[in-house]
Amino acid sequence: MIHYVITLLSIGGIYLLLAQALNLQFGFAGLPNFGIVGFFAIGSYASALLTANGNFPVYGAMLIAGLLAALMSFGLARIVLRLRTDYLAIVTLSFSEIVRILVIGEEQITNGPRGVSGIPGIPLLWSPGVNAVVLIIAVNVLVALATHLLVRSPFGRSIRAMRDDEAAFASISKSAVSYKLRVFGLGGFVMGVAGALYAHYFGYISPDQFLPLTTFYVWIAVILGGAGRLSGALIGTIVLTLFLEGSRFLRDVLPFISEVEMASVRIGAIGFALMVLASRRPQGIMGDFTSK
Amino acid sequence: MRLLELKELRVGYGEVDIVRGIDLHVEENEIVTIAGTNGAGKSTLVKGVMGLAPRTSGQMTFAGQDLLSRSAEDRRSLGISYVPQVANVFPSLSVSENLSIMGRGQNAKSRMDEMFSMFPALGRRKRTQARALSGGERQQLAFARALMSQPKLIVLDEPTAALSPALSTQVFEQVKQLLSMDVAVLMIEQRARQSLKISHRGYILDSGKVAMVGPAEQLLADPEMEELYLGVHE
Amino acid sequence: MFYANLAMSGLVQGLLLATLALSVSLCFSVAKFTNAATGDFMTVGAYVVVAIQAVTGGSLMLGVLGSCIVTALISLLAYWLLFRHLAHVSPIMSLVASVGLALFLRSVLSLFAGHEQYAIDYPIARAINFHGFLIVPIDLWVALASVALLALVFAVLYLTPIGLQVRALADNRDLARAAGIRSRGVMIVLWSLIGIVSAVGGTIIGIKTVVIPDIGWNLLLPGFAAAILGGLGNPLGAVIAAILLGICQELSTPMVGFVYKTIFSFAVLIAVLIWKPEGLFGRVEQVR
Ligand SMILES: Nc1ncnc2c1ncn2[C@@H]1O[C@H](COP(=O)(O)OP(=O)(O)OP(=O)(O)O)[C@@H](O)[C@H]1O
Ligand SMILES: [Mg+2]
Repeated sequence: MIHYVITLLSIGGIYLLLAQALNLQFGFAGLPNFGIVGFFAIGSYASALLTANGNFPVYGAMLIAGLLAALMSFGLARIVLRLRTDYLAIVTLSFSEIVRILVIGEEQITNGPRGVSGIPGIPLLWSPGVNAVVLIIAVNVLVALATHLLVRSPFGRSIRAMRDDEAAFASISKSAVSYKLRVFGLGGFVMGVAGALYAHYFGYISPDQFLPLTTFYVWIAVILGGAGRLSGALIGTIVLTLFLEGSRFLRDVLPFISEVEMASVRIGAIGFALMVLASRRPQGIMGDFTSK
Repeated sequence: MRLLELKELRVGYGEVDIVRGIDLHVEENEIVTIAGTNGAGKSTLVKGVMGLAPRTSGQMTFAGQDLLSRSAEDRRSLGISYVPQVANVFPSLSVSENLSIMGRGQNAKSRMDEMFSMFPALGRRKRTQARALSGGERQQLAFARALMSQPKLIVLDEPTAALSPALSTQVFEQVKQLLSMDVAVLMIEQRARQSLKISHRGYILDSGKVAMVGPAEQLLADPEMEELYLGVHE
Repeated sequence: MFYANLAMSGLVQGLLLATLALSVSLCFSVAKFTNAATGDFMTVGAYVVVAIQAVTGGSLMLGVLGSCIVTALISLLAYWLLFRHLAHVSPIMSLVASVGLALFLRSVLSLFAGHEQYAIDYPIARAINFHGFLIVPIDLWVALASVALLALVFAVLYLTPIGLQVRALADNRDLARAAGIRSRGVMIVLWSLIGIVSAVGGTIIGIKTVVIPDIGWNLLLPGFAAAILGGLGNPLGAVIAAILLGICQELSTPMVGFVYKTIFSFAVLIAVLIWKPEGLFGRVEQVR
């Protein structure tokens, strides 16, 4: 039982990190990222490949993973945001698929579809089983604190001003795009670190763990909770995790439904939830930044 | 007869009211100028009149008929035409398509020919995409488009804003001619002095309210008006 | 000759992409959002053809016509139940909803039809050989059908009164409303067109490959790339870009390998965004 709770907390914690990152990018800065899983995968693979057969320190690898993801997201956004935000969603979505195809294709580096195994766990003071969850929670708290400070900093005020009235903001400051880029890169960093945590927590990663569906899970969590609020990301993630776990239980209770069918039902339910949330309650459960 | 009549009109976006209770009317065959500082809510007011603002309340009638309950699409058929401040033509449509969008059939055809004789520059460029027109031509096209539906009232939002002084004078001449076509005009203008000279009455807006109202000559002669809203020179 | 054959198969691929890019572009220019369900509409179109063929005993003509009707109805339903309610919120929310719709459609399809492969029946004929230049008759038909479809869409847009209204609404929503154009009628035309284009596109993918729940989604990204390359919201540009992309993609296969075909379109996209951010034929749209 305690083991199950820890698993739940770890998985939920990783989703929460992703949700916090999206919250930063979309909720606070208004930049839609539909390629979350791509940056997540970059972080995962970077950290896993660095540590799997070398003696590279895990913490160093995780940092590098985050920086790499940050660099990629920054670069991508830099290219796209020169013209218009509409493209960002499409380009990031494509990007995440490209990452997956590359991971499958570059077998010499990534071991292709077979995935990377033997990724070392997270070295920490406690017993090995607890290590990961403690770190995951700690990183979440850190990110939440950092976001909190960021939002209240002059930098954060600029971001909010930009989100609420881009035209006015552009006239105040010519560096609107530069702000956007930095926020986007920061979000990418968190996604990369989340990916690294994931790799070290599971010890095994493979390309089919990085399907676009994960991106949409995170979107659900953020919209469900209400974009632009920390509490929103938390509540959204809890509901999402419960749903994902619940659908696993459902399968235990209803054995006549096959695994494949259950997967279809789950995807259908996610799709339905996205449609209903977006069209009927775009401001989420907690209300978004437009309601104070 | 009274065409447009607004009572205690409030218009807003989101939570804030930009237009905060305005009384205004336009008679048949009358030119009325709305002037005021930047951001006073002039464009917002006419968006409310056209049904294009997110939130509009108060009373609004046109030729005795309630406007508020009608959609933006319906208001045109009552006889109101609108030329917005920016984006006042369909850029990817050709000149003649911009006109024919306002109506089809034999009647529209002859009306279009009238427009081309009224604005000969347009007649020469029927197949040109509107985005390729010069600023002055575009303004003429916007005018012609608005006149196509034979409106009783035409609402102009800063028709001279992007034009040179010479072209502006030409636009004011055209506005004056509209009277002979039995069209009333509600016109927002920054060049308030010039605009008031061809108007019957004027309203000066400030922060979403009417600051001054009266016959055009009276406003032009008012020293306070001179100091606050007209400036010393044009 | 090798390259001529590749170019031919690229042309067919390009025309297929063109149907998708056209739907994306139409939706973007009129309804003002990126529709991620476009690919899955095509999947639906392909499955409907399979279903009709199963019932009627294999008529391709009947299958395509029926699929046009059914897919158009589904597309209209999506507008009525979903996208209509999103017209006044941020376009990102419409995109999110369209992702939801895509997942939902795919899940319904795989629940009812399973994950097996289906095939669309078509009369098989031997390839005609012109001194090494191979033409497969079905490719010709596919090419003709897509050209006819594209011609139909552009005829509706450019030769009919309702098409004029569609273009006006795409240009300037407020001005169109003030001109008395009802967006509902325009939207019905738009979504019907999207449905019909998807049905034909789906049939083509079904003929060229197999029918599985993922076919549409897999095409979505190159379709998006083509739509952006053509200048998002410029339907004609999207079609031309898609055809070019299809041909280049196929010609590049011997050099970059099969796996990286998809990456090719992305690389082209990024390159164009760097050098010509408004798209190949695009104009910078008015900032909304
Ligand atoms: N779409 C909108 N959403 C929110 N606020 C808006 C919108 N359009 C205008 N406003 C706000 O309403 C106020 C009045 O704007 P409006 O365009 O009506 O002014 P105006 O009197 O026409 O000014 P100008 O002379 O510059 O055209 C401004 O403070 C502006 O920021
Ligand atoms: Mg104005």
